[in-house]
Amino acid sequence: MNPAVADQIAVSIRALIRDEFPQLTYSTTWEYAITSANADGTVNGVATSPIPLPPLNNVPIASLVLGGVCAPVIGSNFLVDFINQDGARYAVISAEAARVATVDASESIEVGESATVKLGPEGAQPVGREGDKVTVFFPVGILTGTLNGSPYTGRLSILSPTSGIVTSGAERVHA
Amino acid sequence: MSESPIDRFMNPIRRIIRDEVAQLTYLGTWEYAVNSVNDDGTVNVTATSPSCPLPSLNNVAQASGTEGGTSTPGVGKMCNVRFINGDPTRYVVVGNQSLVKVATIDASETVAIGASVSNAVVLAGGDAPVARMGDACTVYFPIGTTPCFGTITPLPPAGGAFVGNITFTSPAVGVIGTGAPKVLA
Repeated sequence: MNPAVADQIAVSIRALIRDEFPQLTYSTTWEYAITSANADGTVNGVATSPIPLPPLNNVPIASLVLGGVCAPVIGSNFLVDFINQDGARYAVISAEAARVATVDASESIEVGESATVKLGPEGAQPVGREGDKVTVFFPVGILTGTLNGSPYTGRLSILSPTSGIVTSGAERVHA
Repeated sequence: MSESPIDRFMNPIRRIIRDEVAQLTYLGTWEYAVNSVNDDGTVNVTATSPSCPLPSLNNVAQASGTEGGTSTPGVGKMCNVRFINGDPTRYVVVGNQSLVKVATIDASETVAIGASVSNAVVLAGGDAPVARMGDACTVYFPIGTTPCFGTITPLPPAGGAFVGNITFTSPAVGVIGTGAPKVLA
């Protein structure tokens, strides 16, 4: 085959593939690094390796199934997906590191029905709830009055503690 | 119009390429709207984009992600769908685009929330520390004196009947003795 014709065919095939599948670039997940965060919770980023995509600005954080979002750390990497294979609709689907992680729902959040739930770095003591028992140790009481009709002043020490219950709690946090 | 020699050569190639990469459609993330939520937690959804070549999907499960979370989305809300292994019969919801109605995090052993936080784990927008078993509490008595009566023993004169007031000049202290055994803070 004439080399010039072969080159023309190769160029045509390459153009055909690009023409047929412009969405190919937007069908996978790409890694970016966060350059800055915006006040509305979106982020700006640049690709971490040479890819056919430009820097992206105002990228929203996609809420995963759980409804969780995060405020990621500048400089950390994040993963971007394109919705409907559309180059203009991109969202962060995963962040390498988060400053603030938020899980929210309009009705309820249910945590660990089948598990032990550990909250915070300590995570060692059972959480107290409304209705839980408390033990109360009394201070010394000062008595002033009459004893057998005569004036009397004394001190009252109650040696044994008594018990009580927690009578209020966070209305929207149940354990 | 007759095909050019190049077109006659390229069109079969175009068909071959289309056949070979038919699953390309199933490699992306697609936006769907939730039509209804089923009792088993799956959802029925319809694609939102007119250009989306995919049909409505029923009984779409939710991919829980690494955190073991699932949710109940609101009807009419947008969700993101992906196809596992590029298989058009294996579709899952991988994300929601707005606040879900119910979010659930579960695990067979432990759900650990915020083991690395330096500030706070905030539950339901709260701003007060959660009390735990063993934490101290303070019990305040009525301000001033409180009428009381009783028998004083064995202070002299033993057996005397006391009538008067009692004053506690400081509150009592206590500890929380029980708590939720499976919620640790």
